[in-house]
Amino acid sequence: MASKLTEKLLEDLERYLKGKMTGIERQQFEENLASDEELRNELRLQIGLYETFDNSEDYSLFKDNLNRSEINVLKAKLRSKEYQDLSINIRKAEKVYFNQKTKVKPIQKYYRYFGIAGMIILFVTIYFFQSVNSYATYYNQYVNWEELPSFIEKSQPKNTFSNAEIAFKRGNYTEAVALFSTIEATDELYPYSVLYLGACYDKLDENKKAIATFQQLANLENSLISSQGTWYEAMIYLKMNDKENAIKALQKNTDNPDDFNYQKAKILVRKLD
Amino acid sequence: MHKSINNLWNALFIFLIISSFMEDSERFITGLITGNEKVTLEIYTKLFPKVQAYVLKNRGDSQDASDVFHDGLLYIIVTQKEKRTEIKSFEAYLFVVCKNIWKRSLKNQVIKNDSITLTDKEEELSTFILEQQMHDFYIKKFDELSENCKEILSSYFNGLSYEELAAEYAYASINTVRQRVFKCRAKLIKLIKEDQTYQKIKQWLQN
Repeated sequence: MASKLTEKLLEDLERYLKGKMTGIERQQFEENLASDEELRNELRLQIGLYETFDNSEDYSLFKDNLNRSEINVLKAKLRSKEYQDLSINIRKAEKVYFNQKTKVKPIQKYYRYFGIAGMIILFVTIYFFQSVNSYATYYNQYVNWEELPSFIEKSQPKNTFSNAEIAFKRGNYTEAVALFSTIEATDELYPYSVLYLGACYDKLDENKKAIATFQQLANLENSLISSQGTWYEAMIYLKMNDKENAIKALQKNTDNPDDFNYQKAKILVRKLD
Repeated sequence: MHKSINNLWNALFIFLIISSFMEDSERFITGLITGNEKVTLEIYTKLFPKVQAYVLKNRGDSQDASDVFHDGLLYIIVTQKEKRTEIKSFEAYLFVVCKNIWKRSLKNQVIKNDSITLTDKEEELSTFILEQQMHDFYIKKFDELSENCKEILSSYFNGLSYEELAAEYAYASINTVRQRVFKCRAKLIKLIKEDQTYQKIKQWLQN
């Protein structure tokens, strides 16, 4: 069966990739996949596009299915004398660099600022009407604690973090708070423990504690997820219908495109203003 | 009159910046693929600190940063040695490649559960090279879309709902924006499929 590219097909591929199909739909779709090479190609293409353009999810379903002969050609190339010499050349430079301990300030990325300026102009020029009755609806729309990353690994022995996460998933938030609070700041999962802790306080409706915890996350230096702190701080303010403080928090996520939910934060600020 | 002279100066300034980036890119790539020690050291001195800072910030150590930087440079050598393609900013390109290498190895660390896994360096790097070449190809095709399609699709791929897109880009209805997204996605898919590189990529993905 040839697969013609239709809106319906793209929608099905997306729902399949994001796990939004029902059991029966999924089974039917997988039967079609098994018998339709073109459909498989369409799916692989969509995975590639999502992997390239959507940083928030991992769609690597075919990660280990790359063509062996192509991999072997590359491996042979990398093992050839020519490439080994080039690799040694890089390592030599590394050695000299560390010996010299030279520190040169990297060139400024002007293009990035042009890009940001362009985005700001775009957002400023688009006029936007929307009124809301209750800011808590935004909280309901944007907060889903089930989407928090999981660090439980089947073959690994249980540790404090995994026990805390299990307690959280079972709805034992008080127990989860006690366990997450014991994670040391030196633990590599510490930022995630603070995130979970904030989520626990939110679930327990201890909003002030939740806000303080998310602020603590936002203030963590050198963490990949610190901007989630400001985002969730804003969400709790919205839950409390405190528009002014929500805007203040959201604005912190509107300067850097790498920040968590950067675009959503920009839109929300505009909606709330 | 005064304003037009100003505009001219601005244009010249931007042109000079872009030209100097491109000149550096050319020189860096030639230096790498010919094994020029001086240029390789210059790349190290100028660009390594930024990659190192990124890796250190994200659960890596100094050795990880060196390995990521090494693999990033080797990726550029492998892909540019046989066929040179235009790279506007070597720095930006190398940084994206290094970021992807590090994200990938973080993900693999989780998958492998710290069990005793003998890492085959060339296997890892070869797999990364194929994946990154795919990403580069899709980005190249994406850049061929109209500005409007690029804006809408990047918001769409970043998780904005049709409702949010309609509001953001001032479309009359959700249905209109849905159709626009479909047309842009279909156009992107068409551009990809029409390119000969896609046939090659299709084979990579077939066992």
